[in-house]
Amino acid sequence: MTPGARISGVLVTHGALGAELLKTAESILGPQDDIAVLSNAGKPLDLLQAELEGLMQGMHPRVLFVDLLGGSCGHVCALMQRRFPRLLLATGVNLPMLLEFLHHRERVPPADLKQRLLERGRDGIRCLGWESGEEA
Amino acid sequence: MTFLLVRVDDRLLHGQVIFGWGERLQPRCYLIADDQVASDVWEQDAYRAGAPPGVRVEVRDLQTFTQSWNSHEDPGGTVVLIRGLEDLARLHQGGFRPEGGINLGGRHAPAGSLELLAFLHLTPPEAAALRTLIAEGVSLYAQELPGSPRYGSEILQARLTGLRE
Repeated sequence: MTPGARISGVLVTHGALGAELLKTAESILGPQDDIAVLSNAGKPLDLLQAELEGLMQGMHPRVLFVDLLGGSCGHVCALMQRRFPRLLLATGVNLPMLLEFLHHRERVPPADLKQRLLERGRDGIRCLGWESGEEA
Repeated sequence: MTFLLVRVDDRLLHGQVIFGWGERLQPRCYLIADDQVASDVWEQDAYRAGAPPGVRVEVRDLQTFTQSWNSHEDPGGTVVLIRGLEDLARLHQGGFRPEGGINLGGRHAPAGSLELLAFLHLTPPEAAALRTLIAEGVSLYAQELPGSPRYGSEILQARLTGLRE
């Protein structure tokens, strides 16, 4: 991957979560290319897998984002990652992780991007309040 | 042999099972009876990677399962997962008789299927398998999640009749 090349990705999620995540990210960063959304809603596993394969061949994504590793989306993506070791599978996708990806995917090398996705995704998760005794 | 849940679901081990049923039933083992998964180590690894920490995922092909289900070493609560009604019919023919009913949890619309319930779409061979299982007195109920409506064999039978017409 040469610096400056845009890394493409696919959001594979339950229901409308991926579409809404992308829509929200675009409302913050503006319209985005080279990012696709795939939902598992109403689909048997083989159909979800076939649709993901279609996206693999059509847009050659380097990153698959899933909401839940233990779900059907995570399962088909884990199988795809085994077949295509150059794929990065990022699970537990949230808005901070997606924004980090969209913002930095043309600017940093893939290894740095991987670290950024992990750090930003995790860093966005906090629990504030309910200090000792207050939760009661 | 008593299982916490025996579920027919074309997604096998997935979010509804792990979070919907699993949080309620707290199984220590998911036992997948499926020829495809049994023949694919990668797929087994993918299911194991998605299971909660400390919960075992065991996989058997259908033939091995029919021979071994009654002597399953239960680590403290097991959920059995079967992909479809035709597989369940094979297991039934092979002598699979778990205590308690069998949960029909999800069949997502494959090509040429008819909607029995919103979460249960059946191809003609699957509908035939269901008719046979009901006729043979297998205790079945359709229920997507612990808190969602439960449809017993009589309701499923009536809906199957409607599908045929």
